[in-house]
Amino acid sequence: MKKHKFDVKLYREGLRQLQVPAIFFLIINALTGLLTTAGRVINLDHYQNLDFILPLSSGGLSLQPIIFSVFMVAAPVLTLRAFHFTTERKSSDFYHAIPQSRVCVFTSFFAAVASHLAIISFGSMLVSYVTTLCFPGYFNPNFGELMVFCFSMLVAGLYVATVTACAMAISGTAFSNLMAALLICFAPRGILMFFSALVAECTQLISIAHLPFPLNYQINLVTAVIFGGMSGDGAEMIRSLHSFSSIIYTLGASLLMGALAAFLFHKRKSEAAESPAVSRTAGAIIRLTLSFIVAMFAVSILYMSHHRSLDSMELFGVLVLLLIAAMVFFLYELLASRRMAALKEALPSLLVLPLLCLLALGGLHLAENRVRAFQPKAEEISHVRLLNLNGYNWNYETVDYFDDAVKRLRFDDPQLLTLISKCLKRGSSGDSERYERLTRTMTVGVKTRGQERFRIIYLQDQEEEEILRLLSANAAYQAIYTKLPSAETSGNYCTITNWNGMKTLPSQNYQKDLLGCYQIMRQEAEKLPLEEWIDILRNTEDLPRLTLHIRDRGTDMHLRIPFTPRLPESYARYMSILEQASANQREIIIQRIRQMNWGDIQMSIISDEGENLRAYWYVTENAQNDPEFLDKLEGYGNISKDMTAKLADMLEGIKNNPLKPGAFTICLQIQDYTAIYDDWLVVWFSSDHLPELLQPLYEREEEEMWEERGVYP
Amino acid sequence: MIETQNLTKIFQKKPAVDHISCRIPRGSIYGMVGSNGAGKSTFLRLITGIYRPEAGNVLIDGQPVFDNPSVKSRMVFVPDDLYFLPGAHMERMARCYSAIYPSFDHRHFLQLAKSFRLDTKSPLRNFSKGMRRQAAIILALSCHPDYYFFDETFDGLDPVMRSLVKGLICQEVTERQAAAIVTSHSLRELEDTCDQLALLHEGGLLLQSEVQNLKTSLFKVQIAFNRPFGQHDFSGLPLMNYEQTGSVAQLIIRGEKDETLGRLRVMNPVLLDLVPLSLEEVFTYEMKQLGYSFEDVLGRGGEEVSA
Repeated sequence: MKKHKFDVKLYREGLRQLQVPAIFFLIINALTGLLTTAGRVINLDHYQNLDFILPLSSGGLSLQPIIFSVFMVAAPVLTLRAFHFTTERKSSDFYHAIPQSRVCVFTSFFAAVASHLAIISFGSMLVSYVTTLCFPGYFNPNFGELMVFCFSMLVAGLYVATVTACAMAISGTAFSNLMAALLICFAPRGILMFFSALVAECTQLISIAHLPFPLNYQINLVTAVIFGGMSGDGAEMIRSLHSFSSIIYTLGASLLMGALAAFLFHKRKSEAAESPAVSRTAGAIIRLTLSFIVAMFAVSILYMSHHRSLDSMELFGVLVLLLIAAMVFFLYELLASRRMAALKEALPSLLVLPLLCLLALGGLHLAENRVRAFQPKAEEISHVRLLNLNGYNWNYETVDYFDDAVKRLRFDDPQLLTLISKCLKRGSSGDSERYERLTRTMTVGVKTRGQERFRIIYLQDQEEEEILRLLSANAAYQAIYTKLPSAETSGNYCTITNWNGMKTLPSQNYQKDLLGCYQIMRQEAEKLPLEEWIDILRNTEDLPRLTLHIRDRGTDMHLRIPFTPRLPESYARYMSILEQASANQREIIIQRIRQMNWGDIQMSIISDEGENLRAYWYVTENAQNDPEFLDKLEGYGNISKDMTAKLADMLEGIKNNPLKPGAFTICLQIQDYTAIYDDWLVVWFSSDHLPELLQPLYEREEEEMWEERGVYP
Repeated sequence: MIETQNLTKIFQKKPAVDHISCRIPRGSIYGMVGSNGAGKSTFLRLITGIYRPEAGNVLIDGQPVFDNPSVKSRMVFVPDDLYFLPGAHMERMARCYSAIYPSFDHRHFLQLAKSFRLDTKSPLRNFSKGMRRQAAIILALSCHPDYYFFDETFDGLDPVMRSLVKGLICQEVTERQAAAIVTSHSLRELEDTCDQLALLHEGGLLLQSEVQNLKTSLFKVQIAFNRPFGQHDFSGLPLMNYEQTGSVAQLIIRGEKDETLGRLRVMNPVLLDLVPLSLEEVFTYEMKQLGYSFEDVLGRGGEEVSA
């Protein structure tokens, strides 16, 4: 009975047959993890020499940069290897003659594939984890989080393996296996995303990053990585890999695909080996899907021009694309069957292609109408969510803490719902010129009749202010901004950066001080009125800032708070930390500048009011001595050693001034290309008045504005 | 007992096996001859459960074969086109077989490998065609199944090995009451081994009979008289064929040998010789009777008969 469903001996035989490629993948992954971890330690030591220590990210992808190979390469290769017998008559006959049922052969061999994938993903990660333990202090990996990450890789691998197995069950050559696997894995979501993007482009009302379940590609771990990687949204991609719902969905999809593959294997005829497809219908579906992928570009031209007549160039484009689609149709059949006669047999199914295109075109119009028709009245909306309230998060590597927290809140304030309803109605009118006059876009989740839909709304300045005002009355919203998260949670750490995002202190050495500074900021936040506190948070661009790095379910998040006199206690503490770090470095940097023959110098002059002047200089022995060099703000100017000597003399004059609130703070960053280590060195200076050498900077760029504010020296 | 009833398999709208019904008892070797494309291999693939029949059924000891592990565990198939794991040697294949076949006997495997003088640690890809075939036969015999299926198995074997293999198969059949179906496109290969013979042509079973019956049912007589004579003189006899060259005639007769010879002696011939018939000749005359030309049906096999 057991040999009907699963056979342990056959499973072991499967393990043996796959052990060579599996060991190869394990070694490659483990070695990469080992070398990456060791390399990062060496890199860190290199920074330490210059007094810069960057905390090392210890997430799964950081420790195992090629871990995606588990599902991208290992899963399809092992599956193709395990079921290779389906592509050759003699091996197909062998495995169909043995005393195990077809389902038993499938489950036993698939279990072998799954076991090897588990060994590769967990084994290689374990090697990386153990390596990090060999360098205490450099890494702070979270074992549980790494295991979740490995499990998600395994689940993604299982999904790809089941998809490949399904493809092998319906096709009979290596080429058709590969094509069918790619189609099953990516075609449905790829086509869906393409058409969603068309509707999004045409309506400007939806975003493909916010499609409802199950259309959202991030719900599937494999498409989350592939399409997420293409879109460049690394943080969302990593979040999906740790997301419980994505893991469960992909696992469920894998189980369904696995059951389908087992069923198809049971039904598969041995004689299908070496044939492009197990049946004429299966062959036609593969060919049509491939050609439809090309034809959908023709559909997109037709769809995008639906509000006007097609010009001759567009018509030509449509015809060419349809011709290419037909060529792809025949080319696939020729490559898969290697018989000219097969082209004639395949010809009738080509007639389905125009029908599919018409269906797609109709579907697009239907989808557009549905999107535009969504204009719920305020009373029909049960709640809204604001997905990118701050909208200034341009960093795709990490997620803004406040945005992330706010998007989880459900707002049901009647005034807010009315405002959102009004915006939705305005957007649905299709008046794109009106959109342009509106300054701000926001993605909102709107729940009506138990279903949440995501829309982009366009706001005027006063509408945005009104939304913020209404939100301020919400207790949960207030709590997000005033009750800042604790910094003591394992894995959290602080860095301070200059206005340009460059790290300005060896954060590891000053971690305790920085965490103390953050603690002061938390207290200051609780005391300030919410509007003022939010205003401070929303205006960080020209200010140095403290960033609390938070890891949440594998995702790196950041919480940025500026150092500003508006937060006097933390600002004073910041000055004290900088002074502590810079006091012994000033003489060093002055000497470096004097000796510098080739390198970069950056200077920021920050007033107490948060105004910021910037200068960039490129030091080269061959530079012409440019007397106007100080005029070249916001760009590179070439300076020679004469000028660096003047700069060093100026710094010599202010090197003993302690950093303090109320004075000009000068942040000097240099990079000496001739030094062994060519990284940036940052030191802070202070001056009660702007040094004479730097006067032209003021006079040229910011004179009027500074005068207005009365800070002109 | 292997039993097929109206077994039919269709490829691209053409029947590769067309309503074949047969019964093969245990303890016998069933030979199946036919030209290339006659349906021998397809018949074996149907009987071993590799192919699912379009119509009819295959029963082994009363149970269907297709996707039935309990029946398949008692049979082993050595196809014409052999399959070995990539890069494998015989020892590796033996491990694979022991994982697949519950009755695989590793000691027997080693003994057979020694008898055939094959290196079990040498990669099979380095073996000659004949050696690979020997390896496949050794692996099959080591499984000790109740049913053996050999497709064109003797091709590529030298006479010594062919004799050894035939001996081993006969031993399995006689000692363990196993049954074997052996196919070949050459009747001569099967003549001395099989208990039953069948002739396949274009997917259909033209003829099947026990070899002993075939050999005794027909006989050839050379006869001459010192007077003019013709076929009409033998009208009372069950003649299958009549040929006369000058004063000597050759008669192929179906019937009781002694009684027929007695009736011929009464006609006072000057020459009366009983000439032994080869199995090819028996097949030739039997098929002629059915309206087929043996040369057409067996192709090269037919040519061998003519030669």
